Amino acid sequence: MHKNKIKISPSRRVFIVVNTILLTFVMLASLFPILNILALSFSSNSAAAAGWVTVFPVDFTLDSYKYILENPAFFRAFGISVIRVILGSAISLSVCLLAAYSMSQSDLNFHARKVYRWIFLITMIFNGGMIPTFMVIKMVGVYNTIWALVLPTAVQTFNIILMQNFFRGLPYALTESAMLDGANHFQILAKIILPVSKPSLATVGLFTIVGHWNSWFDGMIYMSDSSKYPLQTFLRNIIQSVDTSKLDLSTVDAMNKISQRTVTAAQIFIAIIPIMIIYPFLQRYFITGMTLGSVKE
Amino acid sequence: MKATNKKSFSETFKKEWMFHVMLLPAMILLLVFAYFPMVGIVISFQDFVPSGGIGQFFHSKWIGFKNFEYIFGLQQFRQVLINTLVIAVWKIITLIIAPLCLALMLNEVRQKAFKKTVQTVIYVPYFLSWVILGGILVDLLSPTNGIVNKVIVALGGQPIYFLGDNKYIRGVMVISNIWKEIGYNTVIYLAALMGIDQSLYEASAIDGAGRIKQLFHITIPGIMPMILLTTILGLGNVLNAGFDQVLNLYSPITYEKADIIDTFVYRIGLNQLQYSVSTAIGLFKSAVSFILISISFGLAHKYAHYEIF
Amino acid sequence: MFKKMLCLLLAALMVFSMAACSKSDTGSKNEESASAEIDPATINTGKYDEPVHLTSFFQIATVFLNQFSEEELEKIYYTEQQHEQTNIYIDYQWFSPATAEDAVQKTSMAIASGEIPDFMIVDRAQLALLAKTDLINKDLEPLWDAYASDTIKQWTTAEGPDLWESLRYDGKIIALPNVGGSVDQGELVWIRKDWLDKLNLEVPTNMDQLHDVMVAFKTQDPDGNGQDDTIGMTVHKDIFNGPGTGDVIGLFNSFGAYPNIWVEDGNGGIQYGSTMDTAKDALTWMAQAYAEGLIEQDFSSQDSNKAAEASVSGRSGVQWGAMWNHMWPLQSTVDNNNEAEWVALPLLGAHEGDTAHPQASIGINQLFVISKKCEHPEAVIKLLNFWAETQLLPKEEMDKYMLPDESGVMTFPQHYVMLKTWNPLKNLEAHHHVCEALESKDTSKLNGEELGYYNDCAAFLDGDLSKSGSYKTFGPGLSSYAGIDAYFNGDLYTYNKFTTADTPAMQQKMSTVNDKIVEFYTQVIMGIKTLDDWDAFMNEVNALGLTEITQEANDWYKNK
Repeated sequence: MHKNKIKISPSRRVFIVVNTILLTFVMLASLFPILNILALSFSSNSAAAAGWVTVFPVDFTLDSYKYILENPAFFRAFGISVIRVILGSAISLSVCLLAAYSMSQSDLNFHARKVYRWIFLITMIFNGGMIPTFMVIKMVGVYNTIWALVLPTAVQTFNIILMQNFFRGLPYALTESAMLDGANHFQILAKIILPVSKPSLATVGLFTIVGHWNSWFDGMIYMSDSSKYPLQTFLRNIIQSVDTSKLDLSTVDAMNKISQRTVTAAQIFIAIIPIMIIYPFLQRYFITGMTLGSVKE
Repeated sequence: MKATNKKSFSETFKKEWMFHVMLLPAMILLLVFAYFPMVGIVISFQDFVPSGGIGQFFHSKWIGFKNFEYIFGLQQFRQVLINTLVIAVWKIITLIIAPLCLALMLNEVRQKAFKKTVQTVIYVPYFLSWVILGGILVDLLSPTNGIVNKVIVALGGQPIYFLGDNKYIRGVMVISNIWKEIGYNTVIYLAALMGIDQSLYEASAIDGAGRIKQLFHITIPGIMPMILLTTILGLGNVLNAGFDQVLNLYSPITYEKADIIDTFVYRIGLNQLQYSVSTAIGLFKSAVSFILISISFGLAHKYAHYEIF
Repeated sequence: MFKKMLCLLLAALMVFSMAACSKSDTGSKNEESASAEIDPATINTGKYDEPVHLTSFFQIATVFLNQFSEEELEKIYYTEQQHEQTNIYIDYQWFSPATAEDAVQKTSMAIASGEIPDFMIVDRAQLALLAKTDLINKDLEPLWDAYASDTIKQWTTAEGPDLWESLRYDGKIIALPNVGGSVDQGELVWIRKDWLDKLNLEVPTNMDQLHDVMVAFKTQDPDGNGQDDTIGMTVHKDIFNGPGTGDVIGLFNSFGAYPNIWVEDGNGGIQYGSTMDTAKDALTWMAQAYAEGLIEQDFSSQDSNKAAEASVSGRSGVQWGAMWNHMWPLQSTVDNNNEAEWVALPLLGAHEGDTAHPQASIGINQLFVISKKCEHPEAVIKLLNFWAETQLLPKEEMDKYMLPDESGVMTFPQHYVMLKTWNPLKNLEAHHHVCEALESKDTSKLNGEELGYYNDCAAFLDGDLSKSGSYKTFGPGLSSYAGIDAYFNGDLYTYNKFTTADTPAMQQKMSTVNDKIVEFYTQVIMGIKTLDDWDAFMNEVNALGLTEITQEANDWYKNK
């Protein structure tokens, strides 16, 4: 695309080389943990317990993956996470879209805007804590349902800010003629704004997806049934280290089988794959989606 | 005077009611899941004993500011507060500068495939928990056979026990935090960078401006709003220095420099069941964030004429 | 002091709940009926005529996560028999992994929101909070006396009256115990026998000799790979988190120091075992070992898993730990290297002629509390009776209960049962029975669990090294229970003398004090500080609250 026919100066050349080397180093540093996990997942359990595995498998074996394939719980959790991401993103994006459109109006067009702004901001900073929230979830009747995972986090102030700024960056002419034609705000949002909002939706969508995919704590306290756990909650329970002073014969007996770092590693690896697939697709929208900060005149 | 106000109010509402409707779903959700639970904050002024039902938050004994007195009276609290602030502030600063540098570097890359690969790969550690990364770090930083110390020795230095030395532990926290989080912020900056109007660069190139000059006159001002936004929002975390990370990387001999509010509270078992005290700590943290964010909002508005929200 | 506070609190609570026209009046009736004497005529320890339903929480043992299913729980023979023989049904409100983050957290949430099931499993901290509330049945003694079978009465008193005393709050018993053996807690020294043999060393009999052995392990290349890569012993950063694997509680016991427990001070009172003067000897020993490179230089940042790598990979030849250490993690050493052989030695005396005293506390695995709103609190005890009965069944009967575990071995479905308790000497008896059977080849006297160990031992003797865990734990020779048998028969245990609920100062300050102790000890071991700083250190921990805690502990002890 970029046809650069300008001569490259020597200093520029040095810069490019240094830059490439540095970026490669950063890339390797970022890759190391996941390579380690990948290698662990293909190694034998005793080699892993001995700490011999770095980035290449030791005693190569597919046992971990076989074990996972035979374990329906992992895939069930995986499926729940997928549903959660789809449902959660859909709800969160709709709610935020509506809110952001209103908030993108100037104070003159929307007099109550300042009040709403504080309502949003306060929720970023203050919260009632775990127990009251838990009790509310039970009272509202969403306890132990997927709604407990998607509704409480649906309104994300940060995302509303991002979207609002995107809308503010859109050319005024876009909406002006529609306004003059007598269209109301719902029509403007649906027919004019939404079609050009793909970049913003993709950007905010990624954050929402990542947020939903990564969160584990809500799954743990709002789901009464471990068979309804999303993937990260499921993983959390097998990853966290066991307090060895609380082991006894009945539990230690199976530690060899369960403390399998290799199986855990394989599960962690599989859990990252979906995001790694989605990410490049959404990435191309970021350039326009992240228009930030409207300078107020 | 009153009459006109009233009139303008109803008029305003007629014109603007749709905005209220659009905000209604968000407001309902916030009311139910954010504002209603805030009732629970009152227990930070009580000696809370559970008795059942939402009414239980008003049945316990009111003890005024005793819980706060207790927290601030704890022997190590001063040190823990300092640790938290130092680590958190460093994290906020580095998570602005490092991703910014990385984004600028990436912006200079012309091979699309390489750029995309780097961009994707740096996001990976973000998805691994600190339990995993902590284990890997202990390996990498081991004074006997960790790769970092092997390099140091090869360069003629003495091996350093990074995780067991109060001189280095905060550095390890801050740097390893960059390692994990850099991908997320780089994405944001990169997008902001690419959003800068390319014609500005072309124009300045014709004026004979070098790349360094362009950086300071076009690039940085172009993404300033983004930097301001992340800074202001970052301030909300000034008392959250990273519980999971610290818990996995500190040890008794580094408590002095690495113990933060959250780990301290966790260790003395407050998180577990002393609900009044832990709610009080949460309220304290929120209050500090609130003040800082409000101030920075005001400053940004006054001096940069910038309003993020 | 504590009582006063509690009374005040309760009074305040009552005033408030009355003022707010409380809805929880239904509970008070039950309390009266529970605390009243039970009319012997109404006691029916047998089957209920009508089905009784109890609500509860199900904690899935972490090792059992992959196997557990709710459908299976409904189907198994144990559940079937429970329904048939007692007519008691349990409705579980949730099923969650029994980890600190999950089930423990969920239980705490239930308590904090004031909605608890008929019965549930709690830990000490939760019990302390419940003691302040009005949520649980706070007088279980009459019920227990009336309904508990002789078997569980015997199991819960086999190790003395302290166990029940520890469940008294304000003079009343408020929780029932799942008893585990305190004899099982004694730590052992695990050592690489093959390395000793290879270097022509004797099995050490005191800590001086052990030090020399460790030096040899470090310097004489016991693994024969020609590299200077071995160390003396395995330690992890939580040095007093035990009995576990790679902690040093056993090491301190060798020198007459007793981390985390309270022991007699010789003047009729008790003192905190972590900071006894004898701890200095243990620290000197460890500091020397560290200085000589016998301990991993960065042990202070390694958790127990990480530290275990040294043992498993064959770089370390000594570690202190619980009786199960060979089952995990040491079994992996043998899996990696068939030549490797770990053995368990009873704790060694400090010097020639000294005897070590392993430490132990009351053996309670779990606590059960019963809701005040539970209509049939005695049903919980009946279920415990039922469990105990199944444990004593003859082998043919017991076989009907058995289910295959993950590796296909038939085991009793204990992970499906929440209400259970054990004979505290079960494991030690298993050791004796297995050894006798190995001798006589007569397996008829073994119960199901013991037979499992026996079969593993026999397989091991036939050369199946993957089964060495059972042999090294229950078998003859230098095994865990041979050591524990010596502790038990020699009456060597030093028991924790503080057997009641934590005092107020303990609740507030104990963890801070313990942090400081571990911090200072780690620094001394690593040579950052020396024992010259001991007095300053003691002043510091005393100021942090140890003086106050010791005072309160002694107030209780002397009025006992």
